[in-house]
Amino acid sequence: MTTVTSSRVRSRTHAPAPSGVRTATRRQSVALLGQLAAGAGNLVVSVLLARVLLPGEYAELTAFLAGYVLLHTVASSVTAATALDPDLHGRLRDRAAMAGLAVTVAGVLATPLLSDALGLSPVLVLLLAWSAPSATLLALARGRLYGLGRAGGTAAALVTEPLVRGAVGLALAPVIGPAGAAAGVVAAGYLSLLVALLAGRGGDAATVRAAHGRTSAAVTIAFLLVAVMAAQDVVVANRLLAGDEAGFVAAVATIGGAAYFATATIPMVLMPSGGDESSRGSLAVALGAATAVSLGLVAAVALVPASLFAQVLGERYAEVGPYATGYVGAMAALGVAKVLAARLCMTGRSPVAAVLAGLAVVVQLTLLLRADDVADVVGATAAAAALFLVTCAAATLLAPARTPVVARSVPTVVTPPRAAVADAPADADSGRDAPAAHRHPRRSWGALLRDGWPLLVALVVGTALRLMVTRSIWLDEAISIRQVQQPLGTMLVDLRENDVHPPGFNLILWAVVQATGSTSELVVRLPSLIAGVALIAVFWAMGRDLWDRRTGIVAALVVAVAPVAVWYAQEARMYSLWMLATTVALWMQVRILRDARDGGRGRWRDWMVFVLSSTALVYLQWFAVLPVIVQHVLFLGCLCRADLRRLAPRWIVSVLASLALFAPLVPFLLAQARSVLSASSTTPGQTGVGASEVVGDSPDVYAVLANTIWSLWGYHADELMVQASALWPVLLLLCLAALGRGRSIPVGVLVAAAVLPVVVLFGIGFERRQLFELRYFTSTVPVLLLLVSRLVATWARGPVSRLVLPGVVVVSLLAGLADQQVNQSNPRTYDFRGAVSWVERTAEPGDLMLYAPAFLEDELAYYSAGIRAESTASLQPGTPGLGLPRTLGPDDSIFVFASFLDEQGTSGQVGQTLAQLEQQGWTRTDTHKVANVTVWQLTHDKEVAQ
Amino acid sequence: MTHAPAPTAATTAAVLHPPNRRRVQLLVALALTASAWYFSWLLVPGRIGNPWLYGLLVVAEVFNVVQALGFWWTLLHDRPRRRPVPPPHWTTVDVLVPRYDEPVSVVEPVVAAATALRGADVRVHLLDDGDDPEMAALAARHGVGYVTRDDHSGAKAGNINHALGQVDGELVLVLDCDHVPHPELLRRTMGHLADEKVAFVQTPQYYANADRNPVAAAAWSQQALFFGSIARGKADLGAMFCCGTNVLFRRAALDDVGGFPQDSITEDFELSLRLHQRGWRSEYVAEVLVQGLGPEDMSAYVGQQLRWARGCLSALGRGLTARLPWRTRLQYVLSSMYFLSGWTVLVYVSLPIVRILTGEQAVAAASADSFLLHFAPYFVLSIATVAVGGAGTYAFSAFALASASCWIHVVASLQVLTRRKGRFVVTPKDGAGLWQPLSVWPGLVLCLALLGTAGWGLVQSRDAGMLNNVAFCLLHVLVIGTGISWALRPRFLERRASAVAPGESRWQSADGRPHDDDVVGRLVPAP
Repeated sequence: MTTVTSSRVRSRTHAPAPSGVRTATRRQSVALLGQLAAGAGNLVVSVLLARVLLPGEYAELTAFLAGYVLLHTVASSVTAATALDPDLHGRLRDRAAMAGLAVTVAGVLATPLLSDALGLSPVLVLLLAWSAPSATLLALARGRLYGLGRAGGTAAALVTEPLVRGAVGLALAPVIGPAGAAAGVVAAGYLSLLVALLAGRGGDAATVRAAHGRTSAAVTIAFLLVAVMAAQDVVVANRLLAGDEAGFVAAVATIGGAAYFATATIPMVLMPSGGDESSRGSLAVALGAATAVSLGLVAAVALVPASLFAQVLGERYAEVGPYATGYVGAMAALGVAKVLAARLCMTGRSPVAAVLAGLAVVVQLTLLLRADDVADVVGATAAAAALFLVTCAAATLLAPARTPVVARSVPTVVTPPRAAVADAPADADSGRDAPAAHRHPRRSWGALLRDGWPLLVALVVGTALRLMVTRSIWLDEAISIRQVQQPLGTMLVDLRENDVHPPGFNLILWAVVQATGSTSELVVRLPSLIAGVALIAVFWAMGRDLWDRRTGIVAALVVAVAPVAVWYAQEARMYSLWMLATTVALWMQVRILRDARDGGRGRWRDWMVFVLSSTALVYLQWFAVLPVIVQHVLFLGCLCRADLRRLAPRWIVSVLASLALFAPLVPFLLAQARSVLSASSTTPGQTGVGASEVVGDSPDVYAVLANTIWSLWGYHADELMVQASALWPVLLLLCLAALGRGRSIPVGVLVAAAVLPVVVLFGIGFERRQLFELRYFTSTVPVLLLLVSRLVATWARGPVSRLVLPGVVVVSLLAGLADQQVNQSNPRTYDFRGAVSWVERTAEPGDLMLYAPAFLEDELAYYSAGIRAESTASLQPGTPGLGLPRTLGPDDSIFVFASFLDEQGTSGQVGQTLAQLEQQGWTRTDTHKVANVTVWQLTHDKEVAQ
Repeated sequence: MTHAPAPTAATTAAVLHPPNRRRVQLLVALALTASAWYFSWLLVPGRIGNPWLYGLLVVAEVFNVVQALGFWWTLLHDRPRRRPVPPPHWTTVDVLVPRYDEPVSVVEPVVAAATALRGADVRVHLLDDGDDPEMAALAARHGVGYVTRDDHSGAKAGNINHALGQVDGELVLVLDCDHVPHPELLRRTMGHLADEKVAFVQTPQYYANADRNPVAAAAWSQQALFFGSIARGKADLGAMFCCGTNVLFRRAALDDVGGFPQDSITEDFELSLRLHQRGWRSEYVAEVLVQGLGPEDMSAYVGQQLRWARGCLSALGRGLTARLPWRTRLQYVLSSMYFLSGWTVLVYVSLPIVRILTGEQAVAAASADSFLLHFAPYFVLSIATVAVGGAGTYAFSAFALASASCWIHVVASLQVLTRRKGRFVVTPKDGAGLWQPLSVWPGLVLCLALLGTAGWGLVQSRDAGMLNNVAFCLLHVLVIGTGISWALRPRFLERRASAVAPGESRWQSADGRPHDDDVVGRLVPAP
């Protein structure tokens, strides 16, 4: 056997290869200790300076520090790129110094202007300007230390800063005031730079493979965007919120900043460990460290009593606790996400990391611009951090194996294929060509952008659509919101005894609400929103993985604008997560079957994700068990084939694992089943079943048609549904178009997953008609969308039709979306928010609101009109005054708030109430009608009363 | 006994893969149930709307369900054929390659490949009805017989009969002059003739240019269904008929019926019927052993289909009255009647037009819900049976091409009824690549009528009933429009042709001849 031995052995001065978990742990620990010591030291110095300086002087120093931190934050974005490629230090050093000096010159020249703008004395502005060169150079030097694996040097450079700040600052501050303290800060920066340079001596940068310039730029941009994510909320809140609220945000951000700061070194230490399989220990250590530090901080902040916040931050910030916990949680997520982003950069996917960070920044900014209070700001940052975390995790998990950016340092023995040996030059094994063998197939930034721009477009469009034109909190959402405001144990008991859903979604919502301390529409819908956006990325990746890039593009665009996907991404219920989980589960199943067809048994990773996603489905909705069963039946069917029987062992393991994960739900399920069986009503509330003329005693073909239309084109007014249903011959065309197609594993699995749960529920519908409804086979929606995407991506052959056909589909979906979102005749649109808002504007203190039906209670608890609200059922017809509150004076009004008037019982009840009130001398003076809600205002007719 | 490996197993598996039998049986059972469910709903007196329209609809539906039943019956007989045994003795085979006006580039690979046939004493004869000196030169170049005649009567059948008078081989292989045989063709087929009652062995007529021409691709998609499940099923039922090329005859059988009938434009179909009537049997080898060229434009396709339709329809009467086992006779009748199916397309297309223009409809007292509940399972299962029975080879393009060509069946049946003489037209082998609206003008008229009616209907009303019929109009427009589009987009044909590697499509080789890999020879040495 011919072998080629790589001559590429790194110099001893270069970062040694990760020799396992122990090395990684040691490096992380040393750097983390240095970082924590630096943080603590800086805090101590700040406290001491606060005692030394006068309040006004200290405020000026704080403003100086803000500018200083800003400079360093921007500059430090290059640290990650240098950690990945230490040679960058040598290449950029001169330019960084020149750039720093340019900033200094500009700062010096603009001192008068900046002095006024920043509220700093000219001396402080000059000092700030002179700190600029240290910022860029320090970022490079530290990055080099990380890259060379010199954790001790890194820690030394970090600790130098508080030491010098303290020594110089505390010495000069009493003499020359804030300028002395600032001089200490600047000097600390330069001395820290000196320490970093000294600690990095001897590193033979020439032996380190240089990363591509564009890669470095992408890494820099990615980490710069992460820094923006961590900081822009304060800036935006300061501009948009009132003073008190903005101050609250600043306090929360200060606490959260500590969490962000604490995990800053972890991804940097990870960077040079290599991106190959053997470096997974380093990744695990980094993830473990980031998670442990983050969770520790979250727990610490959660346990801090209000009195301590009041003591540290001031009395007005005593209630900052819940917000701080949520914000620290967001920073914790960001800390973990940074590790994953670092991993992406290490494996040559820095552009992906940059795109994901950019997306999260855009989402955060979009949410921030809609923020009304602190909770919204915290929610926006939490959403962005969670999105970044989830997308980075998905990209890390799902990305195919790729050669790492950082080459391994050990000699590599490569066995070339026979043909390659035959064709190789005579000196192929001399080592001269070996580096070429290690030249990694990295893709340039431009190439990645060219490849991934459709996804970017789909994500931006999809996110924007999911944030636009939201509707009122729906009854089911209001119930969930009420439930999750209870303590965890109480909520679970409530769910077990009074609900018909598994606890998965409520647990997520409970965590979000408890973390943010808010139940604003945006916050409670965040999980669905994130799942909805993630679904776009999953469609993209799935389409490419199972078929081709074109299908991936079409699928991402289709799901981005798909009306039902948008609808449920705007609803604080489980359906959006259900769609995501079912798509992932199906994807994994197809991957497993594909692998089995090629002679494998399915990768363990795919099996694991399959088990987790399919189990998550059952935790979200009991009906989601149907697609899961279908999937396992498909596996069973495959096992009947001799060539796929090798799947059996892993499938059995997956079943056992699923059952084990499902086991905790069994008592819950049994308790709910008992409750349901003993209750008179056994059916969960329905949403807009009357949205088409499909209501009958049993499901019929039109019910299938209506649900198919809903799946693809969304919810619409009854008239439109009747017209759309009449277009059923289009389905015949689809059947014909399917001829000669669909023999592939993916299509077969998808068709089965789309059809079989519907068939089962169709059968069940004959017993309980209301269960044949799209919500109970939500898993069909993404599957249908994928199938349609695949069909239109491949059906057309010509250059024009290849564009026109997907375009027509996307435009038709957009039309459906527009009608669904805007048309108030949509029978599923209930404008409770608008109706309550009108009452709130019209009502005076002391007025009364009577509502019907009685189950609007949770809804009106969520949207409070600021007046007393009672159900019409509370009226006592036989008694004088109908049992109305005695406090109701002659000048007060009664608002009769009614919805579901298409139901005979409700409309009769409302009519009766109005008649009774009129008999009692109340007169209708105004009527306000919005979508599916009507409010009558009644005032006392004094003449009748007399 | 050691069986020789199939020399073209990969190609055959790719284009004529047998379906999963259990799946087919299940689908047929379901489709039968669904058709009973639908017709029990449709054939109720209370459903009669306009009696004329209802009558037309029922006739069309009954015709199609009869065709479907025949198809399902044939599918159930799609069983693995028994392996042929080697021929009992060394045989002489006359290979007849009739030619009319095809160019040298098309014919030469056939002649060259025919001379390379193994397993028998092969004598190749180029039967040139075009009297082309280039063909004489070609024959001389390859050392094959060159046969021409003074009287060109009887078209292809006359040409072959004339040649039969000059050859005396025990077996006769007929190859169209664009169909290139694999060297193992004889070895894979002759074994069946060990049975003295077998008159001929047919092999599939594969269109190798399906990869570069959409018309050929759609035509092949239709052929694939026939040469796959249907032909295998017919063979099992003893009713496989000769398709005019790629067929190996026993000379004695041909002599028994007086050679090829010259009074029909589908001499192959007619010949098969006569042979079966005389008690001979037929066999089918479902392997791609010959690769030919399909019609490359709509003009060629229309000419081919019109000839087949006229020929088969003219044989319908003889099929009905032939003295044959009932199963064989029924298969002939079903094959002939297929060419009436264009009438039913016309009925389906006209129903929404009439409904929009006059308000009259075929079915009354039935909601769309009720109609769909009964019709949808029948329709979906019928389509699924075609898809599964054809193992995925029958594509939408084939359906569209058939729908767009519905008028051919109408014209052919009228010509047969009026006893107008047809003319044998050789299917052109070279796509004209021209705008050919005249070859599809009936389809064009249908599309315009449908579109106009739909537009007019939308102007009149947009209620559910109107929208439903407009949707039907658009459905027909899309199907028929796809079928006629190739005649209206010559550049598309050119682009597709130029998108693939230049050179021969047949056997994917530079010279259009199969790779000479004597896999069988290793196991069955020639004497």
